[in-house]
Parts: sequence; C-alpha cells; structure tokens
Amino acid sequence: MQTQVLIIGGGCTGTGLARDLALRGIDCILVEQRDINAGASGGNHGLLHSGARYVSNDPHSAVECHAEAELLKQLAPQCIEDTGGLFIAVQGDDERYISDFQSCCDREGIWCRPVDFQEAGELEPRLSAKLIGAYAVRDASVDPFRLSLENIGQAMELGAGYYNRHRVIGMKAGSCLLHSVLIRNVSSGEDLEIEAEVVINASGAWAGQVAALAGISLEMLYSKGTLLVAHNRLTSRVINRLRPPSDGDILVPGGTVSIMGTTSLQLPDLRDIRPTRQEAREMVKQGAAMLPGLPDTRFTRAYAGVRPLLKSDDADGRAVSRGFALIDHARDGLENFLTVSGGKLTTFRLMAEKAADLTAQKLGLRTICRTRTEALPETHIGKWSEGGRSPRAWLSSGEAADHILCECEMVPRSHFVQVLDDLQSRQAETPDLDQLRRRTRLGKGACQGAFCSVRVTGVRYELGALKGDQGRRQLKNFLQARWAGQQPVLWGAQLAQAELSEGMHCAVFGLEMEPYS
Amino acid sequence: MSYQRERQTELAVIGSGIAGLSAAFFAVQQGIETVLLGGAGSSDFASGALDLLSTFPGEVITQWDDPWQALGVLPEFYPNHPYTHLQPEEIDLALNQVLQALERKGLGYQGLERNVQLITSLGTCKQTYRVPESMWPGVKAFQDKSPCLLVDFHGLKDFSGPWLRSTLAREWPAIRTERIDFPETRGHSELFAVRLAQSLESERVRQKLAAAVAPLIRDEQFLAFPALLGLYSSRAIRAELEERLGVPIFEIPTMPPSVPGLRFLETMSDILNGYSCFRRESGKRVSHIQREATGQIVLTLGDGEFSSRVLSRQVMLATGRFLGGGLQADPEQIREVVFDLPVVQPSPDQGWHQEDFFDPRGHQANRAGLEVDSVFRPVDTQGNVVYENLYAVGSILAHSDWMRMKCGAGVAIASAFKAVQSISTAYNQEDRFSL
Ligand SMILES: Cc1cc2nc3c(=O)[nH]c(=O)nc-3n(C[C@H](O)[C@H](O)[C@H](O)COP(=O)(O)OP(=O)(O)OC[C@H]3O[C@@H](n4cnc5c(N)ncnc54)[C@H](O)[C@@H]3O)c2cc1C
Ligand SMILES: Cc1cc2nc3c(=O)[nH]c(=O)nc-3n(C[C@H](O)[C@H](O)[C@H](O)COP(=O)(O)OP(=O)(O)OC[C@H]3O[C@@H](n4cnc5c(N)ncnc54)[C@H](O)[C@@H]3O)c2cc1C
Repeated sequence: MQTQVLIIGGGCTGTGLARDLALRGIDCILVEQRDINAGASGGNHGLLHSGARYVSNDPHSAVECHAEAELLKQLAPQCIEDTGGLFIAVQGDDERYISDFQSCCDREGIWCRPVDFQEAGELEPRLSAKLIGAYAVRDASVDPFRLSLENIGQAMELGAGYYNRHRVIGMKAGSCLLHSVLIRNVSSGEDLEIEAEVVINASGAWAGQVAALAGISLEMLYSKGTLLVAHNRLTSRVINRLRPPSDGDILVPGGTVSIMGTTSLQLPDLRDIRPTRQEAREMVKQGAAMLPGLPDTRFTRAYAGVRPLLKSDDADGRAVSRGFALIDHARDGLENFLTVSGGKLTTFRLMAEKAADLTAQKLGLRTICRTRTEALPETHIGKWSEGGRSPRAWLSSGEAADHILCECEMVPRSHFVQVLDDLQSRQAETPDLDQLRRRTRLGKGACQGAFCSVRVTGVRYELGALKGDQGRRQLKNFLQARWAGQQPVLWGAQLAQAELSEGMHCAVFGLEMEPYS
Repeated sequence: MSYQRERQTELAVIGSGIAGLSAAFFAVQQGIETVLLGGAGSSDFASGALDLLSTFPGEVITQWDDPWQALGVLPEFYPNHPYTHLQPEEIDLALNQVLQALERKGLGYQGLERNVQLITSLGTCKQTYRVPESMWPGVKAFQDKSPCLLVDFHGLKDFSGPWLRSTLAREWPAIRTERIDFPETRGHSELFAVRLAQSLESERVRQKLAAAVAPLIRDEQFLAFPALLGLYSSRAIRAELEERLGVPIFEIPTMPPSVPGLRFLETMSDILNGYSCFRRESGKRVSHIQREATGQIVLTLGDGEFSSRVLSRQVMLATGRFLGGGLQADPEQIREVVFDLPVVQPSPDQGWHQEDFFDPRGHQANRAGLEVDSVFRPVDTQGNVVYENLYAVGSILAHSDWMRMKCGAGVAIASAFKAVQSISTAYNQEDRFSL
C-alpha cells in the first residue's frame, strides 16, 4: 500500500494532523494501535488551558495555550464548554505565589481578575470557606473524544485513510530514507506494509518505542497522572489550586460530570499505567482542601494518562517544559521521518500545523494551513459522543419504536445502531464494545455499563452483527475494561453499584466461569 | 416535642430481603411477636432461583454438583463461613419449611438432591439448588436439547432471544426464536418485565398472547418466554397458557429486576400477613438505636417529625451488604450502619478488590462483614458477644462471598432459622418461668 504521509498514533495530535494534511490536499493514512484517544488524549482532564496555570513556571507554554485556547473556542465550539475558571488558594498555601500571580498573568498578556471571597463562594458554593486568594481566568472545558473524532471524521471525508487496531511493528530504512512501515492488525494478526513519502511519529509517550523501530534513540520521561470522575457536576467553572502544580489541584466540570486530578508518578516504562486505589484516596484527601465535600462525593471511575515528556536533566515530571517537540530525524540520517510529541491537548492544533508545515516542505509542496482559519465541522461520527445530545434528539424525534439502551446516559437504540453501522462500514472486524462506547457514551454513567452492555449486545444479535459466543466474550472484556476504572474508587454508593453488577454478571450469569476472548 | 408513635414487640427484624423475611417467617411460626422493618435491598434484584452452595473460588474455581458434599468439606477451606455454624440437617429443614410455605401459597419450587443447570438469557448456565417451577421444564428441555420455541417481545430490551439462540446454536440447535408485539402495548417503546407480568394477570391479555403465539408453534415440544408470566398468580397463568397452546411452557430469567425474584418476596410477605403476631413497618430506615437499662433496644425509624419508635426485646439485623444498606464504606474502611458493630475488614495487604473483575478468587471486600457466634450473634474482635439479644443474619455476615460461592438465599434462610431457634428457646424458657 502507498500513501504520501503515514501518521502513527490516533491521539489529538495524530488526528489533528490527519485533518490538517487532508485540508492541504495531502494524501495520508493514520494508524492507531488501539482506538482513537487510547493514549494521553483519552487520559487527561479535558482542561482547555487559558495559560494561567503555567505563567510562573513555563511562560512559553502559557502564551501558546492562551492563543490556541482562544482560537479553538471560535473554531471548534461544539467540543468546548466555555465555563471560565477560578484559581483559588486556601489557608496554608504559599502567600508569595499568590501575590505574584496577577503580575505574572499580566506580563504574559493572560486575562485574570481578582475575585472577592464572598463572591467566589456565591459563584461556587462547594468551595472551601478558608480562601486566601481567588482569581477568575478564561479556562474552559474540552471534550477530547469529540475533538479527535471530529478531526478524524473530517479527514476521512476528505479522503484520508484510518486504520484502527493496527500497530506499527517495524520499519525498513535505507541509507537516508524510511522505505516502508510494517503494520500488524492486532485483531487478526495479519501484517501489512505501507510505503510513504513521509512518516510522522505522533505516538505520544510511545514515541521513543516507535523511533526505536527506525533505529533512532529518543529518551522519554514517563509521568503517570491519575484522574477521578465524579458522578455529578460539582462546580460550574474549572477550579485550579493557586499553588505550584501538585497533586489533586484541578477540578474540571464537563457535561454532567467533573474530573478531579491529578497526580504525578515517574514510571520506568509504559507497562503498567493503571490508576490505583492509593492514588485515588490520596487525591481525595488533597482535593478536600479546595472542595471540603470531596470525601463524600460519588466517584464512578478513575483513569490515568502518561505525560509524554522528552527527557531533560530535570527529574520531576511536572517541571519539565511542556512546550512540544518537533524533531526532524534528518538529524539522525532519515530525511523523511518526523516525531511530534509532548505539548498539550490545548496546543494540539499548533503541533499539527508545525508538523504539517515541515511535511509539506519535505514533499516540496507549497501549501497553507487551513485549520487556523476554518471551523471544525460537526461530523456524523463525532456527534453521539457528546453528553446530553442523544437524549435531546431522542426526545424531540418522539420516535415510538425507539428505546433507551443506556439509562444513565440516555442512549437510544437508533443512535447506537447508527454508530454501529458506521463503524461496520469502515472496518472489516466486528467492532468491540469499547469502540462503541467511545462513540456513544454507553457505559459512562453510574452503572458503568453493567446494564447497557447486555442490552446493546442483544441488539447486535438481533441485527445479525454478532454470532455464536462472540457476545458473551465481548461482554466479559468490556466489563473488565470498565472495572479497571472503577476498582480504585469503590467506596460509598459506587461500591453498592459494583455489588449489583457482580451479582448480576457472576451470581446469575456466571460469567466468571466463561473464557475471555 | 413532636409526637412519636411507639410500638413494643418481642422481636424486631431490621431488613426485609430474603434473610429478614425468612427470619420473620420462622419467628411468627413459633408465635413470637414480630415487627419487620426495611424496604428495598439486594433481594429485589435476585433471580428467583435459590442457591445453596455450588462453587469454591480460588486460583482454580471448583464447582460442586452436590451441595451437601460441598458443605461437608467447607470448614476445611472456609473455617469461618456462616454455614460452619449449621448442621446440614438444620439447613435442609430451614429450606424445606420455607419451600413448603411457599408451595401452600401457590409458588412452587423444584429441584434435585444435587445442583441443577439453569439456562440464562445470555446462554450461560447458572448452577443452583431450587428452581422456580415456572423454569423447571427448561432444565429438562436443556438437558435433552428438545425442540423448543422461544418467544420474546419487541421493546423488551432486557431480554434477547436471538442472543440466547445464537450462543447455544451448536449445543442446542433445536431452539428457534420468534419476536412478537406484546398484547396491548402499542405506542409504548419500552417494555419492562414487571409491568408485562402484571398485565398478564388480566385474562384478556392472556387470551391475546395465546392467540398471537399459537400460529408460531410448529413441532416444538416446549415453549419458552422471558420470565414475566404473571406476578401474583403465576402458577394458574402458566397452566392456562399451556392449556390454550398445548405445550409445556417455561420461563427464562431476564436481567434484574427479575419477576420470579419478586414473586418470592411478594409471596413471603403474603404468608407473613396471615399471622396475627406479625406487623410490618416498611419504608423507613432505622436512623438511631438506644439500649435501655433493661437490655431492650429502642429503634427510631425515620427522622424528625414523622419518626416513630419500636421497643424490642430481641433484634435481628438483616440489613444486607452495600447494596442492601447494612454496610457502608468510605475510602478507608467498611462500617456497619445501624449499630456500628465491629466489621471484619479486607486485609490491607491484599486490597479490597482484584484488578480483574472476574478474578477466580473473588474480591476481598465481598468477604468483609460481621463475625458471629454459633447462634449468629455479632461478636467483637475478642470474640465476645456484643449484645445478648442482638442477632445478625443473611448477606451481612463475613467470610461468605455469596456471589462467587452461589450461596445467597441458602445462607440467608439457614442463618435466619438458627438465630430464631436461639431466640425461641430463650423465649419459651422465659414463658415457662413466668407461668
Ligand atoms: C494526567 C494528564 C492530564 C493532562 N491534562 C491536560 C489538560 O487538562 N489539558 C491539556 O491541554 N493537556 C493535558 N494533558 C496533556 C495531553 O493529554 C497530551 O499532551 C496529549 O493528549 C498528547 O496527545 P498525543 O496525540 O500527542 O498523544 P497520545 O494521545 O498519547 O496518542 C498517541 C497514540 O499513539 C498510539 N500508539 C502508540 N504506539 C503505537 C504504535 N506502535 N502503532 C500505532 N499506534 C501507536 C497510542 O495508542 C496513542 O493512542 C494531560 C496529560 C496527562 C497525562
Ligand atoms: C443481581 C442479584 C441477583 C441475585 N440472584 C440470586 C440468585 O439467583 N440466587 C440466590 O440465592 N440469591 C441471589 N441473590 C442474592 C440475594 O438476593 C441476597 O444475597 C440474599 O437475599 C441475602 O440478602 P439479605 O436479605 O441479607 O439482604 P438484602 O436483600 O440486601 O436486604 C437488606 C434489607 O435491609 C434493609 N435495610 C438496610 N439498612 C436498613 C436500615 N438502616 N433500616 C431499615 N432497614 C434497612 C433494606 O431496606 C432491605 O430490606 C441475588 C442478588 C442480586 C443483587
């Protein structure tokens, strides 16, 4: 198979790149080893940074974030909730840091306004009463899944190719060029060879591993961050703790839930990036300084992401500069190989733009970037992943034969079938439940898929989309994947929920006796 | 001060799941004046099949065909399991008393001396001990792989015939499915098993159902439905449909809440209501307890203005686990809610839950709960009885992972039996003394 550009990695950077290149009329294929946003792009807060968080320790990133965030609010409003944000400090926090904040923001041109404590308490009643600093900023909340799905959606409409569940496992290099890349279909085990004029490594924290396939050494630093999903919306704005970045100091509301984060743990490798109960407990304790009700809050799950940081001498993950890296491997003797890594979700577009500029230059094409000026269109594959959208459409359609498959997130049968058809038309293998979940919000609510997974599996049999014991096996894999997220936060009401799920799936259905797929 | 109602009783049972209902049943049979408290709990989700014991979790799962044999070796592997306080004869007696009472009210159960295989809507087999009679023909049909027509309904999202058929295609090729409209549901996009079961209490609906199904039957020897054939008079409803359609009919359990599970709860309540020494105070939670100098226990139900009180000589705690509300956990520890009794905690080094949901060893948190003496009175960490007149039964007990061992109803019924025996012995002695 041949293409002009091969992109490795389906996070926000890779999907953003696919769209950017497609808009320039450049032919490209994106390969992703698991699914869209399976890496850090699906393992973050979803905070669209105004830049305020970085004003004192990384002003360069602060300015980049600021510009990109304002641009995205204009161009991709369907993925963004413009909540605004508050930075707050509580008794015991460093007063010097607080008093410098306003001037640092001013210096970088980032909007920031002091808020009196009473007003802060009225705006956000769940905040601690022990405030000693409060500032309003222009932070917002972004839905990373929607963003990446819309990016790849438009790219595909423009002719880009996308391979889900395809892992890059080898590269063939000549004296100064990469000739081809070897890809394995992880479902079927089949291998495929793609020849490309330019290859872009956008594999995030895995960038070192991918570069190594071309014989290039890239030293990476792995810093795991764990996040907790609260069952309800605790605040209307993004809340940041006004102190040097530390554990449990960001709360990002989005739709009906809130994301509490995060931690920073150095990892020796990428083998185990699961969140742990210990981290969850610790974060709840820390976060309680900002939001005293946190220990009694219902959390439905935890997840973790790895910050893809290129190694420097600095030992702490958070302190390393988060400005991104765009590496032209011509420096290592390969003229047509690039790596783009690091950065932030907020700056994904800029990263894609810079990487696409360099790519076009290598291809000898004169193109201009269109993502800076053209709005991200709403595509069909992105739309049912938005919270609240399915129920609204369902209510207004009034379709009597349609019914709700997932009561927590109100996903009707018709939308599920639409997403299923779409996926089936794009890929040869049977889609798995996790893929369907990412595109519909199934299993994102309180029951974490215990009920809706059974219902949608039933629907798939009725449509002839599953055969034999595929359903039982898919169900088991799906429930296990959901469990990995719930297991660290099982206390309070969520523990009762887990008991119901296990009662149903083990006591009644006996699934623990069945094989995994 | 607000007006508070107060009621006195010999025994207060807190919790009306399978354990609480059974405890009240055994007590009123002895003529013990009983007040039953509590609302919804985990039993509202139960399948209706009664598990005794079929599985030992571990690195490798051991399945037992013969639950009595499993009970014999249980103490070796689970020395503190609630069943270790019971003789097999006591367990058998307890189950039989409940089953006979249910039978008299028209809710039949069937089974063998060993566990049986009950087919579920996922095409898996549930090993259980006593099966609602409405499901019993299915056990035989599955065993013989007899030709069978499975009828399900448009809009009933909690049951999928095509799934079951496709999963069992190789094992049971003679099963065929048809999907029809449930009578009198036009315009409803969503159907729930409990509602459909209630509507089948009407003869008109049954007639229409039979008329819709009759032409679909070819040469099948059995007819199967999702478990929704009536809620209160299921025996008569099934018999009538069998007569109209001319084939044996059986039910297959749906996703919870399951109608046969509710039939069990309803029928038990019905039995209890026939006793004059029985009272029920449902809906309100026990919010506060106080022990009098006499040892009697005052239970406050609900809060504030509308609260009421029960003064009882004996108390039976049957409040279930996390889902029932008897146990509650914060990030650090598990607590017993009503009396703040000592709880056997998951050991910190092994963690509360495994990383694999389906880990064959099960999860530690599911073995946390109350430690009891041989007559099911909670004990403290030194092994001393907390209160002479306080008992605990059912799923709140420690060392019994009912979900993995498949012993939910069995432990609930048998522990209730033993605790009531102890109460009634004391009660009778007192009676004689006071004469
Ligand atoms: C805990 C945490 C919180 C964060 N919070 C924020 C925030 O609030 N706001 C913000 O702006 N940024 C945030 N970030 C940063 C942001 O998430 C990342 O910078 C961004 O998602 C990186 O995207 P990416 O596409 O470069 O990498 P990734 O999303 O990691 O994508 C790389 C992809 O490559 C795939 N891949 C790897 N190896 C191969 C292979 N051999 N073959 C095929 N595919 C492969 C992976 O499966 C993965 O999907 C956070 C990061 C973390 C870890
Ligand atoms: C999905 C599912 C399927 C099941 N399937 C089966 C099966 O097939 N076979 C089987 O044998 N078992 C099954 N069970 C298990 C069975 O339901 C229970 O294990 C068993 O009934 C024991 O429960 P219990 O009576 O101890 O507690 P529960 O049924 O949980 O009842 C607890 C009661 O206590 C009350 N309560 C709690 N706190 C208070 C308070 N403060 N004040 C007043 N009242 C209070 C609650 O309202 C409730 O009435 C299933 C359970 C579930 C969840």
